[in-house]
Amino acid sequence: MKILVAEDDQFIREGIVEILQSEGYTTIVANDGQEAIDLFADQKPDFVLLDIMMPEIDGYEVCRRIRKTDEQIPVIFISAKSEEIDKVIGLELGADDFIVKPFGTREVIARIRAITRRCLAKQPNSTDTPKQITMKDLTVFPNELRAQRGQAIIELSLRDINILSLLFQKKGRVVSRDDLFNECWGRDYLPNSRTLDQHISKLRKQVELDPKDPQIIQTVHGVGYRFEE
Amino acid sequence: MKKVISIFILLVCSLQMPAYAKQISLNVDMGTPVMLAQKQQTAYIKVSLTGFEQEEESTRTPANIAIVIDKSGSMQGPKMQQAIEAAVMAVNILDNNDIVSIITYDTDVQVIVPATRVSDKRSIIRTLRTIRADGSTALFAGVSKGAGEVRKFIAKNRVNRVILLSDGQANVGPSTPTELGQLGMSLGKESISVTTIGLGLGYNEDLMTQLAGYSDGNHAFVENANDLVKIFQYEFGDVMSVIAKDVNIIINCSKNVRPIRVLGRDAEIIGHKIHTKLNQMYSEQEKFVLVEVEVPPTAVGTTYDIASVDVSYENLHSKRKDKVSGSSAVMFSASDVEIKRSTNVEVMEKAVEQVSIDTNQQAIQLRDEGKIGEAKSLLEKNTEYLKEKADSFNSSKIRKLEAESKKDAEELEDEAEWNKKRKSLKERNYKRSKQQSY
Amino acid sequence: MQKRVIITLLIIVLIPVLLLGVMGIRLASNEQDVIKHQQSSLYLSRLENIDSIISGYFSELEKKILADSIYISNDLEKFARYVKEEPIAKNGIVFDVDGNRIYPQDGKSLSEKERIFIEKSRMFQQEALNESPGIEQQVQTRASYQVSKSFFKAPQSIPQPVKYGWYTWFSGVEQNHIFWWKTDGKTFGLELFHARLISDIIILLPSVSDTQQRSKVDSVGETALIKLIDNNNSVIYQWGEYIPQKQQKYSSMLLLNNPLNSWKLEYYTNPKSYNPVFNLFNILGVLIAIGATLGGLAYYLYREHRREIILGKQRVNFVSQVSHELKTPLTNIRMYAELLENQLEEELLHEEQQLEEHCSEGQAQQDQYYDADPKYLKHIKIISSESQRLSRLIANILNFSKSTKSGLKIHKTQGEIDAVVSAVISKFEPLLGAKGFEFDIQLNARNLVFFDHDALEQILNNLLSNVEKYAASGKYLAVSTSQGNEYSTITVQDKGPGIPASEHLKVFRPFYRISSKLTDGVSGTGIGLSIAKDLAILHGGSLKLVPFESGACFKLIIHTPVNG
Repeated sequence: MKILVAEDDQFIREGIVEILQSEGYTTIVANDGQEAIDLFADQKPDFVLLDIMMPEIDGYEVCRRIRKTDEQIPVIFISAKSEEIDKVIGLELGADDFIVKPFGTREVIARIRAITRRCLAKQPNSTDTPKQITMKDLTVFPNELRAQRGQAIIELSLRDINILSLLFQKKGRVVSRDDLFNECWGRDYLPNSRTLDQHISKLRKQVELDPKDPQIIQTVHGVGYRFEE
Repeated sequence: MKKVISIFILLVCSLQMPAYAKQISLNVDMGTPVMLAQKQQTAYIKVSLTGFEQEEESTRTPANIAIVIDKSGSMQGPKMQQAIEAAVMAVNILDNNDIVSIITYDTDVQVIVPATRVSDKRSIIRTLRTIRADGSTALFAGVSKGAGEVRKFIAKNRVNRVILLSDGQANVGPSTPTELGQLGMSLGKESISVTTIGLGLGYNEDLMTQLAGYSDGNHAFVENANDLVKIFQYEFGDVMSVIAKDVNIIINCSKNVRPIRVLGRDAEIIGHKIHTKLNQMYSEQEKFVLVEVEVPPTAVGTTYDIASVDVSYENLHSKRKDKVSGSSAVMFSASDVEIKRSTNVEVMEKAVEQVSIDTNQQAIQLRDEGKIGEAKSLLEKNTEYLKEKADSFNSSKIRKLEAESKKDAEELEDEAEWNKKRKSLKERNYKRSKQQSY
Repeated sequence: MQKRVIITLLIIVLIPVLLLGVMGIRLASNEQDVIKHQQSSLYLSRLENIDSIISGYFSELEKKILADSIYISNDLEKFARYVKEEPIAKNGIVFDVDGNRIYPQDGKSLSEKERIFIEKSRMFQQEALNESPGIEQQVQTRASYQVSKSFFKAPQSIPQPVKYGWYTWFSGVEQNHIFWWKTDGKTFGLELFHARLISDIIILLPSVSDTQQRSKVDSVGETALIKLIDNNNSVIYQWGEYIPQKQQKYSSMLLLNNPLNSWKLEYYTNPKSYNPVFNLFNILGVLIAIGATLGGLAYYLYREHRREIILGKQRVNFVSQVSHELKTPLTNIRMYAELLENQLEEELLHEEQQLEEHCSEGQAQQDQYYDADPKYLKHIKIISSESQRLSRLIANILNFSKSTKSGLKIHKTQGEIDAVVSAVISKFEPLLGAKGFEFDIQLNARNLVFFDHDALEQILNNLLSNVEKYAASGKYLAVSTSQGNEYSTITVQDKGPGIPASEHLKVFRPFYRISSKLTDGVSGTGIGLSIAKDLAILHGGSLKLVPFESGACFKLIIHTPVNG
């Protein structure tokens, strides 16, 4: 999924991008309002993160213009002032959510995931994404970015879903590290085995009953990973 | 007989007075020095006083005058103007020895010039010119204040006088002729005379004549304000020619001679004694008292003393109290010719005049009471009387009076002119009774 | 806020002005009465002054006649001449001891005047037989009056003992006066000219431009008019420049004494010159002056207050501006700290897994992977949690600045109370856990209800942060939630030193901090509980400190409807 991040503060922008990328999203970034509008028309993102206080054209105006071409696209506002949030709601700009500075990574992740779920739910059901997949005792709901084991609900990132989906598609077979990387990180992402390993470790901690003895994401040493029923 | 008496008087005078001292001359004349014997009849005694000549202006008696001017609303316009002019003229006549005060009155009284020596004429005149007519007529209070000012400098050797100028009825304070008359009487006792000048047709002539009469002042009816200055001139002429004051005249009638009345003047008759008073005598003016007496039947050829007269007065020339005396007697005869020949026509003329005035006053009173017919017939009777007397004494003076009386009788009925007529009658009667000089 | 201040100031100005006004009017009406009284007594004293002139005149007259009487009483001739010459005398009459008239003698013929007089004075002749005809006493008292100006040139002493008096009667409207005295058994009566008496009195009374009199007799000037009125109710004399209205009543009246009894003096003056309005104007002036002064003061205070408010606003604005400005760097610190934390966690996790895998496979790759020290994670967690604390502080400051501007608002969205509660607890867990806290969490509010997540979070943040700051000694935190139909209740309690009962209400006041040995060393802004309470009230609920055996127990109730 493609997310347009419009934020004039470089570090915040980069931080958000890092979070989004680690979640498995593709990001396009804009330094100001005008750029955001241009990029939106050009790149057709799936949703937009908009800072309100931006030079040239502020977030409200960007939102208004985006809404002219696309009424459905989710917009999340970022603001330092809660009054501005009032305005966002009050103006009925159709904001889908807002994040108030100073925010933490978890907050961003939680809100992005919520929006993603909504997007996925609305999407015309593509055949390649099934409603649910069962991996041993774990049931994964790709569109809900969730998995379930018994009563326990496990929140997952888009990337986690993609990894699990890929492993499920190729169940019984080994998914090479490169393939996994290409599918779930993207081709232009610089391959880094450490990144991959760490992510898998984290995922295992979430989905495996015992991460030290993985049942769903099994390591095939020297090659990659595999899911076996 | 007349001569004898005159000589007698002269003798008395020369005995009493130093030769250089000027004296009032006293004449006691009988209208009928020779009377019909054996008959009770009336006789007229004329006691006349004549002032001596005032030598020169500088020796005149200083005046102490209060000019009381009515400045009520009715005086507005030329009347006020003329009154002020008259007062200004008066002030100009006076000099440093004189004292003047000026009082104006309307509803209130204003002593605009308190009694002062006439040294700063200009300031007095300036004050006079500020008078503006307005308000009611507090005549009594005005005269009172005037008398008060005169009293401040009252002196035997001054002519103490209040000159009142009014054109209207007194309507604030005492306002009856009686009350003003009493005030006049009281002031007269102090030898303050009040001269009353009635201006126009609005004043009360009874009140004005009473006030003047009882205080032995002058009275004038000035119909036209333009004549005011002239009247003031006359008045001040009188004021400045006063040569004697406090002239007390006592007429003692002889036993059996009964005084009936004093004609024209206010006098007190107690038994056979008649007392009257003149406040002042003017230079070379004659003032007389006419007494009507009843003479008892007397035998032919008798000479009978009718009355003796004592006059005491303040001689302003000699600055001392002087006395003159005189007496009169009649002879009784049976001869009408003699009686008639000896008759003093002059005395009789005056007597007839005074009787006629008396009748005239009665007629006015009748007219006042609305009895016009009676008044008229009274005047007609008076005319008859005058005609008879004119014939009897062959007197042109009485004939004039007769004509006058006839005219009076005719004019009595004219309602429109009566107010004016009454004022002029009152004035005329007053002047004749008091032998006023103007 | 401004309105209230204006109203307060207006009240401060108006109440004293109104009070003073009422008092002033009271005072004025009292003063009015006093002035009226003073004035009427002043008028009366003026009239009495006039009366004393008139009485003085009669007293002088009496003295003069009595002095003269010595010379004339023993000789009827002299008496007769006196009657004739004395200006004021009109007639005279004398009775002997037996009451027989000896002057004017009956035997002698009487003059007209005497006859009329005897006729007129018959009543006096009858009364003359009595000891004292007429009214004697009143006359005697008059002798005490003194007039400065001697009207008659007469000795001041009255020959004594002599009985004397006035006899006054009317014939028609005419008033007649006889002054009588008794000596050697004879009664002498002197009729006086009434007109002359009046005239003399008029002379003594002031006239308009008589300056001499004016200085002597209290001048009435333009403001008054005095009338001398006789028994027939007609004006004899008047002075003063005031012109009374028709039908105007006199301001004061005085009846005169014998012999002018039934005469009176009336004082007229402008009633308006002492009108209440006049005083009211005075009062109004004073009130306006006071009002203006107070108004000025109020305006000054108002301006000062406004300046304070503006300054305060500017400060608040400045603070909130700064706080906002702090947010961006804080976001970065927090975000990157968390990113780093995540990363370190992931690395440690990975290493752990690797280690095990490797161990199981007997491989040692420690050198290759071991660059993530657990210490780093601890450090970065501290940065992260402190940045969160900083966030809370900033949120408090901003909320407080908003609450003073009435800018706090509640936005209710659907959610689960427990989720927010546990999220907050989980935030504090590491911090409190590190201090050895024991937790007792009982969450029973799982229904989906409408509430303001941020507000609840902030309230809890403040409560828990207080626990962390002040109740660390108790090492215990209990949080429980429950849900009613419309309301949710959350209690937070600890086993710390607690809050003394006397402070229970004060702790909710802004900037209030309990001063004790325990709290002195602890930093704090003193606005946390105040904001928490404001938010609770704004959320249709309350935040209270409930009694608890040990430590503090806060009970938060908020309105949480099921349907938005």
